[in-house]
Amino acid sequence: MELISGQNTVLATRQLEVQLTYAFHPHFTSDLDASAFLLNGDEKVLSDESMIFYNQPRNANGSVVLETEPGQVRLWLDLDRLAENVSKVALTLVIDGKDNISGLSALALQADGHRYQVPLADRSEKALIVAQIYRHQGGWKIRALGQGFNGGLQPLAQHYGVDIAAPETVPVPPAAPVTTTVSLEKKLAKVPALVSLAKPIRVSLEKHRLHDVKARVAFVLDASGSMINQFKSGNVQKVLERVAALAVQFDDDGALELWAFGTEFKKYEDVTLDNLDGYVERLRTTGKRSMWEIIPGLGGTNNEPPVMQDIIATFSDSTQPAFVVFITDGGINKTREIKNAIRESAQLPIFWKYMGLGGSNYGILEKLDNFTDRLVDNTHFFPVDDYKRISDERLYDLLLTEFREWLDEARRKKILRD
Amino acid sequence: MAVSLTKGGNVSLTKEAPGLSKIVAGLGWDSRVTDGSAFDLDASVFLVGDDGKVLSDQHFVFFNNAKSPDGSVVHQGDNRTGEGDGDDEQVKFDLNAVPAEIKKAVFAVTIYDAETRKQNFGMVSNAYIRIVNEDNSTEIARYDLSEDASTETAMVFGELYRHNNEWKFKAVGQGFAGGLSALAKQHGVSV
Repeated sequence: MELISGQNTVLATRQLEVQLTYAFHPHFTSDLDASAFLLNGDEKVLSDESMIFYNQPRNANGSVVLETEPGQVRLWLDLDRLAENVSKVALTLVIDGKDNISGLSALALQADGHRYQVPLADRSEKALIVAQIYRHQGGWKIRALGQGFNGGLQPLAQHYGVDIAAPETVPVPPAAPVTTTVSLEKKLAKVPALVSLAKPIRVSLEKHRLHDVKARVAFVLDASGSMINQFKSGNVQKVLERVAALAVQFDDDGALELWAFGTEFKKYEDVTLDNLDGYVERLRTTGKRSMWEIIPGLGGTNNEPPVMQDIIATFSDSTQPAFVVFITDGGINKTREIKNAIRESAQLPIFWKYMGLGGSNYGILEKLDNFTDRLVDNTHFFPVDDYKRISDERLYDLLLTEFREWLDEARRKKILRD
Repeated sequence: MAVSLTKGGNVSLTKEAPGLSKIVAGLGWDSRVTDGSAFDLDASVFLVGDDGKVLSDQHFVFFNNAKSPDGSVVHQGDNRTGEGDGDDEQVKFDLNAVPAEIKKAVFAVTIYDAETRKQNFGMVSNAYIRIVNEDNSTEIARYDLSEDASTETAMVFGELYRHNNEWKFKAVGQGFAGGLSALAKQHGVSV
């Protein structure tokens, strides 16, 4: 059914996926954040856990999960497992910035076969209650609403009984106290282009409970011939910058250890905020390069096991955990040796974060979940098909996924001493 | 005892509450919390004869005409926002004083300026209309507008009618396009 504002209808399913898709007018430069509020019969939140948003994307029993991507939000509700005292779930959008919802060119909700296109023209709200999912006579219904607040998050949250101590200018969703915030921004200020990364880093650290973590950070770069487009487009430099910003946070020296490999591998000088600018360009142009190489002296095919062994040797005695970001564009076929290296390093304080960049045929990396005969799960892989289309928020979210879980597991298994 | 009425249901008022003489039609809703024009709901009553048309224009009781000529039906005043707890608008009936020519009282609820304001009952929180026995304040019937009339902007809630010597209430719950003036016209009011 096509719903209009105010209309309600019965939900047939108890495993509900609500999808919000949206698009912006060209002048829209603000952030758009979705949240879900779990409410009692008086339309008030029940506890701190009742606001589901990027800092807290699941409730305690996982019956509510919020997933966000550029242009799309998905809210998963297991209505059978939602606590008895939750009478209503409100799905909301907040705009953080100078725009309001008239800056959206489209906003549509889909749920259980129904659709609601939110009217957007001539409106001034910065926070919108898009729809409500609510209990009714033993079942569940959805109500399309499309009403909101010109004042943004503050009045919206207050309406639901959430206490937000907001700064004078722009309302900010509640976050746990972070002592590193100011210092990260200050540190990154050395390279002005990186300052905008402080917020997405901070948000992701909070979400993944990593804000107190100290770790060594490594960057391993696939420089095989097929990576040429990622180098030429500047994607590699950009990804390096983002990981370097993370290293400023995690490493006391703010340094990032870097390896690159093709057929051969080599360890290069550490990346810091001082030499970050043009780092990748210098990698490519220092020394004589043959036709099929991207980086001089490394050769053009991808040979992962030797560089992995070198990394293992480097960090095997490390007193701090090592967070290794491994960039690859796939074509991975040395399965047995790679698995051996992963298995061997599972007893060591090393976490491998494999990032696929514009590639394919990732082989064993796509099957890591089935690779269970190792001491701990010390790996995570995510592919990025088109780097230009992923937001920094999303990138950090993916980079930091499972790092917390590995840190906890490694501590339990005495791989990390504290 | 309150009966929550679905469409078409009949309640014999005197059976429900023997000796019923004074009733109140109550309209309530929550004032608007989100930004935008206020929700202004209006209760009105058409006092009609056998032909379903008002006996006269003065037999259309609404916010601009508070009293029926015989004084048996009185509108208690216009609430333009829903501010306040309980019923926000009320129309009081003295059943014993209603003259014999009046065969039916048709109750309606409308949203003021709904089309310009782009509003419907579904957008309003906790909007209801009900009939209450004024003598003991018990609710006889209720209709949940927010829930069951969500896409409507005007609605005929029900009809109070004479049957033999009894007063009965019939739930109608019929949405009506065109707002109050269209509704009034249909009941013979010169608009």
